[in-house]
Amino acid sequence: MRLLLVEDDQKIGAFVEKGLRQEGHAVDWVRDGDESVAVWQATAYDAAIVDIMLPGLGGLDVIRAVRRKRIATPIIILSARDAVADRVEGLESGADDYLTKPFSFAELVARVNALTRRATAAGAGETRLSYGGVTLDLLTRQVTRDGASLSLQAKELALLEYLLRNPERVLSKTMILQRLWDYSFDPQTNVVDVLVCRLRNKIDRDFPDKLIQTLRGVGYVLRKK
Amino acid sequence: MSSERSELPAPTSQPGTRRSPFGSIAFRLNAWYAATLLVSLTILGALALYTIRRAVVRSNEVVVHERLERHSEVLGRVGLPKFEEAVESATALEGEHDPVRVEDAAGHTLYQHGVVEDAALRVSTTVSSDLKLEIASAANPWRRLGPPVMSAVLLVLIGCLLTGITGGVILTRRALRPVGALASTARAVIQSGDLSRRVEVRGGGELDQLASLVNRMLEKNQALVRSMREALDNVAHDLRTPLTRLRGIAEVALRADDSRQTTEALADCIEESDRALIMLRTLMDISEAEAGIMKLNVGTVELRAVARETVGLYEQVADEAGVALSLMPGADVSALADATRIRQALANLVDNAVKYTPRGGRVEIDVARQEREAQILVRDTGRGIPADALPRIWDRLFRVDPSRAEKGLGLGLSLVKAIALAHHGRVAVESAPGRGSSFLLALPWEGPAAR
Repeated sequence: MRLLLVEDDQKIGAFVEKGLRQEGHAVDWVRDGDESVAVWQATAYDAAIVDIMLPGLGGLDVIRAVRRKRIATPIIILSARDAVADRVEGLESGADDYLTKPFSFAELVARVNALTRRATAAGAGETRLSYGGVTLDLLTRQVTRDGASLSLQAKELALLEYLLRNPERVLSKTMILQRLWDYSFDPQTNVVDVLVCRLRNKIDRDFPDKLIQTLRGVGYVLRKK
Repeated sequence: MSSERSELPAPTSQPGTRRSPFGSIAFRLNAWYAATLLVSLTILGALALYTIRRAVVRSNEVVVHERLERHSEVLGRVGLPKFEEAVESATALEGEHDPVRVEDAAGHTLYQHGVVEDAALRVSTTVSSDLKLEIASAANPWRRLGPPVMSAVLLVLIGCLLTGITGGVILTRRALRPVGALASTARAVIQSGDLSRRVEVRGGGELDQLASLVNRMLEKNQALVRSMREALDNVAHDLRTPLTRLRGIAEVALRADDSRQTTEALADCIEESDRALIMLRTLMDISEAEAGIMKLNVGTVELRAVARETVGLYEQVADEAGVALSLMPGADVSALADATRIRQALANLVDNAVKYTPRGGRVEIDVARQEREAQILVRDTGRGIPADALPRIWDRLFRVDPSRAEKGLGLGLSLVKAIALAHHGRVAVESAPGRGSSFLLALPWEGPAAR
């Protein structure tokens, strides 16, 4: 996929660009607001990542300018400001998602993927999800691993479904918290750790291949070794 | 963004703010006052002169008429020759006599004393069928009385004008003195940035009320700035620990020669920086709430629903810890509050309760409506809090047992209290060591807007 990155900070820009390239995306990195509008008009992008604090035209103005030209590229805002009002202003300017600095790279990737998937609207209509021998029947809510039936609680099922829908993609604790409980702040005890641990006990404990892997400090990923 | 840069303080010395003496309120007030006084005093003086003059003329007429009557009576009684004698003797006695003329029916002058024709006022009467008496007033009395009366009136007017203007100047000075004090205090605050200055308040007039209002505003600003500064100091202090740890981990990792160790250290770095970030956010929240500037997104919040969600969030955690977490049955209670903040506060209370309750214990959430409050109660059968620690548990970074390796920032309860205060609500705690604690979060149910 072809992505546009608008970011004036050298270090953040370099690390995001490099990371997205490693994920297999083509990245155009623009450091200036005014320039970004011109670049954006010349090329069709699958998604754009825009920092709000920019020299020249500000990030929000860039987004407004692009939206006025009827360019529908999905946009993720990067911002150092975490107030609800800023978030609302960002989304009202025409952006699709909002990520506060500092952010986890896994989360940025997940959000880019979510946006581009949403844009292409694929993956609907499945009734069974499976990966690495684990199968979840979405209609009967039955879970099997290598044919053996497993009994899961509702929240464990929800987490498994989320993992199965995003195989080999890193899911951060924040993302899981938001998806499963709709909580946007971090409770002190890691609720997510506990749930992952329980799911792991049911899915992985009695099998030699461990599917749910922890990336310390980053999140969790469903991946075959 | 540029909007933030524009909030820099504007340069304070603007040439336009220098006061010109002719543009001042005091000068204009006095000029208007003096002009009005002058006009009204002039009208008053003219009116007085006119009235006095009329009175003088009228009284002279009365005197002349009376004299005519007397003369006519004497003339009628004693006859012309004797009358002539009397006039002449009176003239001799007093030095002068008003002009008199007596004529017969045909209009021939029979007797004349002085010149009647030139006089300003002439009156005549018929004494008998063949005698007609005419007398005149020699001088216009106003010609004599006018100048001294006019100068007296003028003197009084000038005196009034001077007294009035002097009084006006003194009065405006006095009345406007609070404004001057207000301006000089404001200027001093702007120039020096010293928020401790106050305007002197003397009495209870409108301007003094304004001055004391300004003082109250300055006081509030000072308190706000002070608490912001304290908050900033605290945040800086509290962030030092995680940052030092972060630096230490990174330094150790640099020296490690094993890539596994490096990876571990990097993961530690991420976790530590996340912790620092959460800590920063929480500290900012607490500071904002304490300074009274926490922004609340107020709406109707169903507290029982929030409690149910919180039970859902901690279900697995409680289950793993062997603690029975439950919501007590009861009626729905709603409050005007910020839903996210209330969820956050309750999550912190439940988090603590589950953490400090031993296996086999219970944590119960109760939602109730008291007279003017919506209350959330979190009860546990945990180890309780020693009485001497009880008042300090709401302090930031306070831990009952600092040696314990419990995860957490020591900010949870401070945040709960801060959120309660931001809603103009309150928190309370009761605890029996060894038997359990119960934490109360109470919100005024008419919402944070009603003080």
